[in-house]
Amino acid sequence: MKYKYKKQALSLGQKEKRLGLMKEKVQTYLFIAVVLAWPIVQFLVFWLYTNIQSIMLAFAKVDVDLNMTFNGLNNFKAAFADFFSKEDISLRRAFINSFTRYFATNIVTYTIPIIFGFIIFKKLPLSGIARYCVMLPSIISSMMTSLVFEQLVHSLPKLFAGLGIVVPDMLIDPAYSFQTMTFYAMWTGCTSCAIMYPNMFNSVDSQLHEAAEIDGCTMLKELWHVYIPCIWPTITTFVVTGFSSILSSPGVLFAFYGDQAPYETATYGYMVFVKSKFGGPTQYGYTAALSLMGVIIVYPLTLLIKYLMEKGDRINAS
Amino acid sequence: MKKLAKVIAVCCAAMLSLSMFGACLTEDDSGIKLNPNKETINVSMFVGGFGAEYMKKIINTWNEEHQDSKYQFNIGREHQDTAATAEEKINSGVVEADIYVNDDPGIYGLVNGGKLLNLGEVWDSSSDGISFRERLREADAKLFEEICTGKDGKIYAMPWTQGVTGMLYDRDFFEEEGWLLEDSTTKNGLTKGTDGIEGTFDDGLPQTMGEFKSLCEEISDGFWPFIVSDIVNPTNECIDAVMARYLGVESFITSYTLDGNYTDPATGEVTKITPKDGWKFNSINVGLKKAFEFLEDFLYNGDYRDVDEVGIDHIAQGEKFLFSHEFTRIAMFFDGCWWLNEKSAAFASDVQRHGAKWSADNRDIRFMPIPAYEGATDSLQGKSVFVTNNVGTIFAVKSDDEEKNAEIIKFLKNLVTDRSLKEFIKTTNCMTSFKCTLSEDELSKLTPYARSVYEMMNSDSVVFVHPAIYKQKSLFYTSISVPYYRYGITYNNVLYTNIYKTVVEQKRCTFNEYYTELCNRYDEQSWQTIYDALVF
Repeated sequence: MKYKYKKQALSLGQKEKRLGLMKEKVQTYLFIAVVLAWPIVQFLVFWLYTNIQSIMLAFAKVDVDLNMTFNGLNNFKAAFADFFSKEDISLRRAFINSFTRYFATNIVTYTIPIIFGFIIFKKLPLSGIARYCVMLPSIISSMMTSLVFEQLVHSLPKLFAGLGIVVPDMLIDPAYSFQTMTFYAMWTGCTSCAIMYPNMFNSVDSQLHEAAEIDGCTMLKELWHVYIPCIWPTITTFVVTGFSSILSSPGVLFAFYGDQAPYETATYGYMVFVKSKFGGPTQYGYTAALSLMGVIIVYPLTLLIKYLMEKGDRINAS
Repeated sequence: MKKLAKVIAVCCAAMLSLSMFGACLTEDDSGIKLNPNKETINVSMFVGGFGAEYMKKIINTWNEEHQDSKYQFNIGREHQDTAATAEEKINSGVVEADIYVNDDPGIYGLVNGGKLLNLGEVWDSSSDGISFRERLREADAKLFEEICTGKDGKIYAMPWTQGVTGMLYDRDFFEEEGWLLEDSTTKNGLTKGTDGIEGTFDDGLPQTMGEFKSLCEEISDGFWPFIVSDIVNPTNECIDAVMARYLGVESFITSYTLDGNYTDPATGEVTKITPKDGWKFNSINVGLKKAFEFLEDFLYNGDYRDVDEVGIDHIAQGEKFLFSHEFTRIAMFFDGCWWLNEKSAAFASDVQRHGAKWSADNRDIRFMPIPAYEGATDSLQGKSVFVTNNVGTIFAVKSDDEEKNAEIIKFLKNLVTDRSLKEFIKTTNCMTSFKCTLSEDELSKLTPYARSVYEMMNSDSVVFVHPAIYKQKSLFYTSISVPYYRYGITYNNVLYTNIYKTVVEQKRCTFNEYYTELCNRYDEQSWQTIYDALVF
């Protein structure tokens, strides 16, 4: 038996109530639209448009008068030729430097912040000092940090000369500049993680900690078996996003060396940045091709890293 | 402890807030008095070594004297943009000012862009009985007019500042130590110098490299002959100065354009260089070899400078030079003519600590021309050569308001008068591209440095070369679609483009090896890539 629902006439109060609800809905949607409008516009202009244009530039030739013409794969051919050039190995070396620096730096910037974060979270002795030490580079402006570091390294030869020890200028001497910049990256890279980890450890269920205590876990075992697995998704996010910028980030090299970093120290992202900034408009196509090449190499590797990290998740891995 | 940390945190937050508040104050701090009822013509001012103080004074004087005018002038914006940046902005419709005062001559696109005001009337003007063109140095007038003229034959810009660079020396120190060359036959007891005229700025200075070497050896016995900035190092300017003096102006210009005549100073043989065979220029350019010898034997000689002084820019270099009387004194340094204008705080500090003797008014620091190597061109016999690192220019954007355009023309004419030019000298201790005449009384009020610069500008025995302008005339710097490095080499399979970084700082090779690689960098086949990339 079908039932028909008769449309009942709404009372004045009900009408007002419905209108009020509609008005509230409209206002809610309007508010959301206004709040999201600016980020969406920013995304469209500063991410979507610029990336689309970068991809287009990789296939274009730009002349001295900024006229763009289709250039096929010639930019990529030039980029490949330079990469495998026997005459100039700097681009190849920069590529290797990028990976070397990433792995060397991140072994430290992932382990030390976890340990420091755990010390701070557990309020162990000297945790206060640890907090200040790791937070200091993020409190002080990065320009100041780099200036202070630069002046300190420049002054070391003179300081040690007084003790009769010969110490090179480790920013200028190409034999040491890569290691010095890697150390700097390690030191300044630890800070943000060290601020976040104590908060992440706080979010772990306290019952797990109690259970571990009852089971007689030492602090290190607790860290390894309880806390790290719990925050593993966050660690995965850090690792994956960090790896994805391995060939695009110029790092802090420009602050130290301008456009003249020794080739032993330069990274791929730095080389692309310098070539595009100082090469002029005629280099836009070539540097866009270099960038795109980097993306093509890094993208599958990033997916692999993500897969491996998710596989290593002891709680959620299937 | 927690309370102390809280107090420190509150104090830091308060300081930060106060500094942000201070930066937001909206009072007109340009130093120019403005009338709110008048229309303002804005000047976009490049503020580098010369500063903007002189322009503020000129504008204030103009505004005071033109109370009846419906216009007033103001410095709307101070910046360090190049003319190329101004061109981009103007072409994209962002016109930030009516008049642009720039620090470089890269105005080719602007003078041919159809947006600038015709300044022919300014060029045809006269003031104080001297025409605009007569105020320019004879050797430079044609060159300056060329870069300011569009393809339609009309003039759309004017030259302004001139960034003369060179070796500066402490003449007081030289006199104290007896390092000035003596000649008993002259009234002042000193040699007449390169110009052969007694009583000029180059008296007592070395004329040959042999004399310069002896001077440096003498100074290095107890003092430092040089201090050199590694951050803003003068390598290229030194190379240009030595090369220009050795080869002569025409061959030097050819080294930039790779399109002209090269004359071998020793044999007088003339070789025509064209862009197509530019690859062979370095191997026949004997001036380049001499320039590298100068770098190795003098400027970067470890016996003549403190090699541990690293991480210093040109400002710190100048300060260390001025303060060196407290430590191991330094005799010479390389900088631009604006150096004294940038060092007012350093002089004030020195005076406060050590007395008025060390003020800018009492210290005699002057330019020393780099002597010529043996076998240098005869065309510059008796001449001192200085390099300008830039030639500033002024242009104005054409307005639809003809009355405003006329006012701008009047103002620009006023810039090239004795009064305005003297204001420039008094404030900056430098000269513009224009000559003016100072009375003895006015000269006596200048610093010794400014007096020497004035003398140099008005001397017929001083030649200025302008690489920045030669680059504007060269396809290799303006119309090439691959990177072109004047001093780029490939050494041990790596491209190096900076001589100082490669040889001095990173010690990858010697100056001689760098020079050899430079000569052999291209052959006919490999040069084709460069030639094909030129846009004719």
